[in-house]
Amino acid sequence: MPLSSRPEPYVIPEYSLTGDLLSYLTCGLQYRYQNKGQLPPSTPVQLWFGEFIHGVMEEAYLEWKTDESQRQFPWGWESTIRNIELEIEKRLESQGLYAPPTLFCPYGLTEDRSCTCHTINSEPPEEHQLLASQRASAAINTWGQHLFPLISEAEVTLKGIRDMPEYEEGESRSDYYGVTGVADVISSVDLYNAPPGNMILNHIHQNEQLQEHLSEIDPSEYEIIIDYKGMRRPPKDDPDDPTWQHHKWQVLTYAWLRSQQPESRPVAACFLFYLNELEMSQQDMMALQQEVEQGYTDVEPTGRDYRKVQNWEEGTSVPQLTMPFREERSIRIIPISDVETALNQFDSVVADIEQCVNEETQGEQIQDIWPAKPKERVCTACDFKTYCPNPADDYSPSPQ
Amino acid sequence: MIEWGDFEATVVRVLERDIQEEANENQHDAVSAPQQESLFIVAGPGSGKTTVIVLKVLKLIYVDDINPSNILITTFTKKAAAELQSRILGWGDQLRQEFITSAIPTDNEALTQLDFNRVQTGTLDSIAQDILSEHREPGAPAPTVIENFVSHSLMLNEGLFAHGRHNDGDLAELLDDFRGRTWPPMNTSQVVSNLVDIKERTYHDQIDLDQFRENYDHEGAPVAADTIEDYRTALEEGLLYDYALLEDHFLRRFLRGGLDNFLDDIKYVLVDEYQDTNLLQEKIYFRLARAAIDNGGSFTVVGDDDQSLYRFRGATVGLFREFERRVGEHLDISPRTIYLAKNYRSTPNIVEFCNEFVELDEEYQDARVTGKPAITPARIDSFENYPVLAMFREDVDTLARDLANFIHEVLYEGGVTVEGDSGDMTVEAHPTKGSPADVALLCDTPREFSGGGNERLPLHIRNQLQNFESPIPVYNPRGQYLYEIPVVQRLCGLILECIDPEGEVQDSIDTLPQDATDTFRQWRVAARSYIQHAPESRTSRSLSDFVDDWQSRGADTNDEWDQDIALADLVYSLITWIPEMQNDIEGLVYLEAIQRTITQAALFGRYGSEIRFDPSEPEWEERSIREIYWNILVQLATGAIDIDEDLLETLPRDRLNIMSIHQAKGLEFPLVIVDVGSDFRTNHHSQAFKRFPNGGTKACNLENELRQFSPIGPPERSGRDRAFDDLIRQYFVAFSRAQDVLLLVGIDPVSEGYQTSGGNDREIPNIATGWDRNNIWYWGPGLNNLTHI
Repeated sequence: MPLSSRPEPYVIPEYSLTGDLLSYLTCGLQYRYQNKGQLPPSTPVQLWFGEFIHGVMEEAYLEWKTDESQRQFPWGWESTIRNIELEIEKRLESQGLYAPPTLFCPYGLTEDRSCTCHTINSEPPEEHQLLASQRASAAINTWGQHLFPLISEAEVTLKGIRDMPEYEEGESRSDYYGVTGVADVISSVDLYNAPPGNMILNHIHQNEQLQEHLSEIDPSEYEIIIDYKGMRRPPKDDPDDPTWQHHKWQVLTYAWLRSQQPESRPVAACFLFYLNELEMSQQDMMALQQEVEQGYTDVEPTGRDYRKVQNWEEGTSVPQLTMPFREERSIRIIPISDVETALNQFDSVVADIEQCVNEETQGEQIQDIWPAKPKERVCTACDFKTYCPNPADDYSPSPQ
Repeated sequence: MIEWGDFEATVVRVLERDIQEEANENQHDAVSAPQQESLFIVAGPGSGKTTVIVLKVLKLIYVDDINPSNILITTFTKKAAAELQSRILGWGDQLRQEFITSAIPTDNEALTQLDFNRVQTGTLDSIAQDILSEHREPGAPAPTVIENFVSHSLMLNEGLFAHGRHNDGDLAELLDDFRGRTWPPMNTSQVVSNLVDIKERTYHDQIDLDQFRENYDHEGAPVAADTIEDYRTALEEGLLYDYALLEDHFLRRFLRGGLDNFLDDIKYVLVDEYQDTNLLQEKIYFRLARAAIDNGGSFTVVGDDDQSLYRFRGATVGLFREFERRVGEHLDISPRTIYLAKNYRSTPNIVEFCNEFVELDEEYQDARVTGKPAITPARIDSFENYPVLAMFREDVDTLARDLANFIHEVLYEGGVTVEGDSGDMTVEAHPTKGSPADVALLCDTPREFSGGGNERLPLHIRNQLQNFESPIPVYNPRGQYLYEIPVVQRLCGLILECIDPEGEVQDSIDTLPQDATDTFRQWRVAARSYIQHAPESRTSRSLSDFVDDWQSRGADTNDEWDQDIALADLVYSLITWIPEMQNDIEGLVYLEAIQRTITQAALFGRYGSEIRFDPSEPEWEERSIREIYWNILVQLATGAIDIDEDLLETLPRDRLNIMSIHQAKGLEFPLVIVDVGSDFRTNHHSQAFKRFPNGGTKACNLENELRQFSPIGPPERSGRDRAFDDLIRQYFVAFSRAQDVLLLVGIDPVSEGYQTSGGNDREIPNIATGWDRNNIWYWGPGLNNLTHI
């Protein structure tokens, strides 16, 4: 009688939709190093801004909810919003996330914290309102004032399990995988009580696809899921950039996860807010110009906005586009349909990741397993580009 | 929703876990207990504890109709929590599908809506962090918990250096009193380490720091109290928490009524591994339990006093042993006691051996739960009842060689014949599923070198296993300190060579611990050699050029030098020439530990783990490099940084495990080898605490001195007795990990005794080889109770 063999512990792997699945889709090798390997980005511009803007919107909502004197908009930057920003910045620093000096000036954060934006300290405080702060103000005063009264549950944790795709007993780690996300939820009840002129309500009324969808469900019992994106609106029709589609799959999966929760009502739509669109950077403007030229974007400028975009030259200051155009570009409404396709897509991403994990446990080399996806925008900011087997360009380690 | 009978029958049929009364009355009682009945479950090793906990939770949900979100379960490690949660999710869903498709009358819609993810499962710390984040007050941040090395750095910088206390003679004397010796004198890192231990105790035992400051009869007490206060203030100002403060804050939020909304939803609280609870945690659990009971639910604790291993982290096993009395006094309930004593893991010989071992020392019996039955063998699969084996050799070299041969023969050469009760038996790995992962070598510590630099059994055995034609790989993540690993030495040396090429800043710091400067020297040597032989990278630039550029601060290339350069950036650049940290799982895990240290150090440093090159403020460069020395490099060089073992999950599984007995807690292996004495050549007093203590350990001393200021009061048993109790528990845990074969190993003096140079016969008293604390050697010279191979 031989010895027994030691069984593997039973653990269901858990995947975050944004932190794992979307990251893997961006670049498999970067995901292996940064997410699975927990190697922190050395200059976490995107990560910092994403966390910052989520934190600011959440904290602004809490203030709006708990302090009735804060129900009047617009909120002043210096009087109200700056305090929220500094609170969030301090919080992010305590997690080891430091603001990129080009995006945010921590002036006034603590007594000994000096200005990093090289504004003379005697100048008015607004001079320290760099891009991240401008976007935070715009987000609160553009969308916050319409969204906050409608939110019924903030920062809802969404969790579910699904059958492990391509499961093989003895080979696969587990027969299930877990999937998670976090989102805000609006209920139809609050929509009915919204004051006239609420922009969210207007968008719901104006969106034909959504109206059609609402006519098929009980109009008094539905929910809308909200997610903020600290990025620009991705191109809808760029064959080389599937981000548009990935975001759709992400929120449709949120809708499925929400539907698994006992107290939920049917989810009618998801609203995504691309907050960079409210205040664009040089890079954002450059990307918009190219997308307009190539016909890749779904919200195109017209009239004066079109001319401003077309005439803009790299290196010159970013022109101020009209507010309606910026609003239009920053909101994306995704009616809930074809959730199954989205779930299948993520099932297949999980299958790919699990395959890589499995090959790693067989002793294969990391760079041979995890697919590196060369993309200049991603590679330029990637810490691993100087030893990536498939970079978008030749990158040499610089001492600085 | 589901009748108990249907639930029980489905569990037996679908999950193949027999919880029927006739199969195991105690498991049946634990799972089927009414939802309002609180339980005190004393669960021996291998008694199916996880199964009972998971099925009890599923019974509450399916049979008692309790909402999953009303259930809270805590356990001791993240790994155990993940396994519990996975089992709840997996089995919960399997049962649901069975209920929906079976003829059992059910409310299918309600079943579909069940969300098992809502069961709150985690370690107490992770649950505290989640709840405090979710229920935070407006404006209050979610708590950020720091790592232990950050605690050490804050204690050093804010507690000691900021007030010149590192030179305080009274403080040094107090710490010597607490550790029980004055020689060798402590270096700065050890002083800090001792202060952190005291700080932890003040939270865990709920010590009144003011009373200690005023009433403890030593001039150093006020200095220690002030140091701890300054450390706490620094944490609060940085919005940071260490784990003890997190739990303390959690308790205070409860007491202030700040978490009443959360408590309103709690109906059932289950605490696993309760034997390692401390007073602070007990207070939290009792508060949670109060809420559960008031809401019509109950409180269950599960544990085993014989497996309590964490006194040095503040655990007080008495809280478990006296649970019935304490819970009666505080919550006015009388929990039902259930003993899970059937052992489904080990062979009858191993179970009998464990029972004999734990009952051997008469005085230990007073430290155990009263009325506890012996564990009984109940394995249900087919097995051989091998005798308990022993391998003792004249020296550790020979032991490692013979042990490696034994392992190789068991795994690959058709097995090893041993003499059993009824004739010869073959110890042989499973022909198809067997692998080195079935074997574990358990030691007091898995370190490959002793404190004095001597090679230990874990290193010898690793080397011997490498010598076979098909080498047997080992898994020993704690075998070496991070700073000893060659690839880490190269990387850290390159950092030093780049930021402080001549060591000028290093030499200007006169308080650097000597062990750190020794390590820096080794790192630099490793780096200089590597620069000469570094592999080419994918880029055209060479490592040598890169380092030259750094050393000249860009002067050689006339590049404009940035004013702020993040150390993390430099590290990523250097990896370009270090392939082991690009492609190898272990290399990546070492890199993660280094980058994590850099990131966390930025939390409390003035320069945020960056080097400042500002021509108008030239002294900033030296200051920022000095800070990198203290907050990052000294931490790495003195063994304060551990790797994150969870990140090694994708290492190939066919490795032989070498681990400490503490690491092995909760695990089981078909073949377990326990090192009971490969380090003990003589009866030397400096090793006595590992086998036959002369007095209390440092943790016992701290309990003696500090608990007079705690509500729990001073310990009843002497420090020496508690040290003996802990050793018995440690080896009971080790022996009870074995499923099929238990093999005790050591060197001959431990089993037979030895002769001094003067020709006198001596023996080596050792709890792990059958001595009791009164110096009686029950197993006797030769250890003839074991089957020697």
